[in-house]
Amino acid sequence: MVTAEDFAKLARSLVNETSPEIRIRCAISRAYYAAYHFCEDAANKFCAPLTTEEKDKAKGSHDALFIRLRDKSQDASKTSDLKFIAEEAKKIRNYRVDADYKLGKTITKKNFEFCLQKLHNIETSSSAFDN
Amino acid sequence: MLTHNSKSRKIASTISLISIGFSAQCLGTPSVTNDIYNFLEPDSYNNQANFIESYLSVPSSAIVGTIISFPNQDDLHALPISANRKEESVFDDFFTQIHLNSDDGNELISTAKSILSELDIALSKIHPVIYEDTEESSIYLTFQLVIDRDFKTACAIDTAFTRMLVSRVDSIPENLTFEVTSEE
Repeated sequence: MVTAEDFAKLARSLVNETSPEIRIRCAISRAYYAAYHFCEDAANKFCAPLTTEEKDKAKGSHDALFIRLRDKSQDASKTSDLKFIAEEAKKIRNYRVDADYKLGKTITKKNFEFCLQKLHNIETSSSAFDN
Repeated sequence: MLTHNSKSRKIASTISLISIGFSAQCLGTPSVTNDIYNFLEPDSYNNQANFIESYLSVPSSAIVGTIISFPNQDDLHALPISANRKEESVFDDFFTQIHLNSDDGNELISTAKSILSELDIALSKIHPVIYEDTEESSIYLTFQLVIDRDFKTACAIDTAFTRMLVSRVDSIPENLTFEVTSEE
């Protein structure tokens, strides 16, 4: 069994000072899935499920997760943090789309560092949920 | 209740702490689309005109009010240019792509600008960027809020900005994001 932390650890291990673009792309992709799984854990703990109609309305399972974090908090003290991690994950998602599908676009280490900062924010919020 | 000044000080402290905590490297190259987007700067119509003339080799007066397409810029599909339109209305075509009502979109942009203003951060320009997820058949829109700060500081401000945005906006569309970013 693997965890969101494992995805995050792998993402960080893929890039160093001399990493080629392909490793940066893979790292961004893994960072996104780390964020996704942290978000999914939080949603399962603190959010109500979407209705069938709400699920059908969402474009896909990833959008559905972010809608759930945004709209379905069952703990008022965590509502703002749940929305925050959804927004942070959405930002990584966008870079992941480019990293995996847009081969002609230049993906830089700075893009990865931005994603890593967002992932760090999600990890910190997730840890706070458990305290 | 916090006064405006004490709020500002608290926010500034938060940004400083976040900034100190962030130790990422600042390497990489600027986006290739930066030059294309420069003419979205709301207060610089002359710069827009100069850019258009240099890019297309035609007088800007000949194309004002028309739609200009930029081939090979896959995150900028088409941009309406008009000196008479309200500054936010240039984004209407982008709102349409993500099925967002123009009034709602412009209100979100106004809120984003207000937050940056409260943070005492000058906004250099706004870059709309489209991301297409072919796997999920989804289109996402990001408004990059470009500021004249270094990369690390911009990342820290983005975190503070996002916290403020989610506290003020009930429902940010799942296919829309705002990202505070550096000109670097």
